[in-house]
Amino acid sequence: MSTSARPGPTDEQLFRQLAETRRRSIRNQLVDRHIGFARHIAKRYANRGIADDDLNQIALLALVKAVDRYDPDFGATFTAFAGRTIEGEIKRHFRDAAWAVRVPRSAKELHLLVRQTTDDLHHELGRSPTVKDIAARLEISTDEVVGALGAAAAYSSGSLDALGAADSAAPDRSRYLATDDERLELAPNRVLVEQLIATLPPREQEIVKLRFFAELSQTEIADRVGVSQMHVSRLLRRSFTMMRRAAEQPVR
Amino acid sequence: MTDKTEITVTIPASSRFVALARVTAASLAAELDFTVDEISDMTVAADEVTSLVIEWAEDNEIPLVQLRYQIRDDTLEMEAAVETATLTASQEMLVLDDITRQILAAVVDAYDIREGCGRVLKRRAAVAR
Repeated sequence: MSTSARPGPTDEQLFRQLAETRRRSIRNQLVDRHIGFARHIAKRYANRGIADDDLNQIALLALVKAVDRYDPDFGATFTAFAGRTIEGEIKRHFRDAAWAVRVPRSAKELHLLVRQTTDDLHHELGRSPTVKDIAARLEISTDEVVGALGAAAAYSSGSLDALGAADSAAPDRSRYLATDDERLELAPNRVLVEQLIATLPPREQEIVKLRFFAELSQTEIADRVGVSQMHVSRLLRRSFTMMRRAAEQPVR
Repeated sequence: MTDKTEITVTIPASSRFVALARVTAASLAAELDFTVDEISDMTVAADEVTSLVIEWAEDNEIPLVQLRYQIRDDTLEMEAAVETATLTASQEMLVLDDITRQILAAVVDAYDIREGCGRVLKRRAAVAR
């Protein structure tokens, strides 16, 4: 896959043509040129709990998104830009697939987030923020911001406040839209860990999850499950041995 | 809501108006309580079919494209189409390229592309919300 050996226009020429004409045939040509690269990235995440077909689909959609958004005047090469977009999308899917961080990313929540960000930006900028300002801050598309603003009419402010109060005082961006945070880096491991946990008996599953995802102490777990702390300790140790053994088998 | 609701928007056949198709799709998907990911899938699909049909209409000098959205229960269906009266036998076929096919397969439950018309359908997943 050498760039120099490619006949016809360069990527940059194609990107300029695309910016000018928005022709799908040009977009498709660019997607076609880089689909191998996208699959290559997807392959790095193989055997970690998301099926290969799904990974390839995620990578394809991310590549299309990258082609649509890339601006050759921006400085970064397309491969660097696309690579980051594709990795970000894949990691986000891993995060969403992991039970411990499964937060329903509903339109209501996005609306809440946009509203919060609007307030923040208004404060910082000393004027009403534009849709572009909000999109840049949240690293989402302008469409999503417009959609979230439009969703305002559908939900009463009462229910929105209740939604915010239910989990935290202020909506935390990373919980909904993580792109580069630590949690996202760990997401592929989480999926694997979840699969390993699933191999345990139900009570052990619960205890392991309470210990490591809910981060309760052994004593707190003992109270909740109704056994002694010593017993919790024993069950945890046994569970880890079982999980380690399961990890040595190939993941299906 | 068990009744079918239909919304029709007519736009000039120009790529400038694809955003309108996307935002309308997103708004209706939000109305159906789709998750953000589902909304994002639906807007990708709306973008694909609308620009496909718009480009075809431009090439065939057809000035208008109609966007028809139907919502019912947990389903959003969208169609971008030129008026049937503007179809003639001499027009080039609307070709669904492989990349668009792959994209649509990834984001919607069903799609159908025919002369001067593209249609997609997405169902809200049954998840706890």
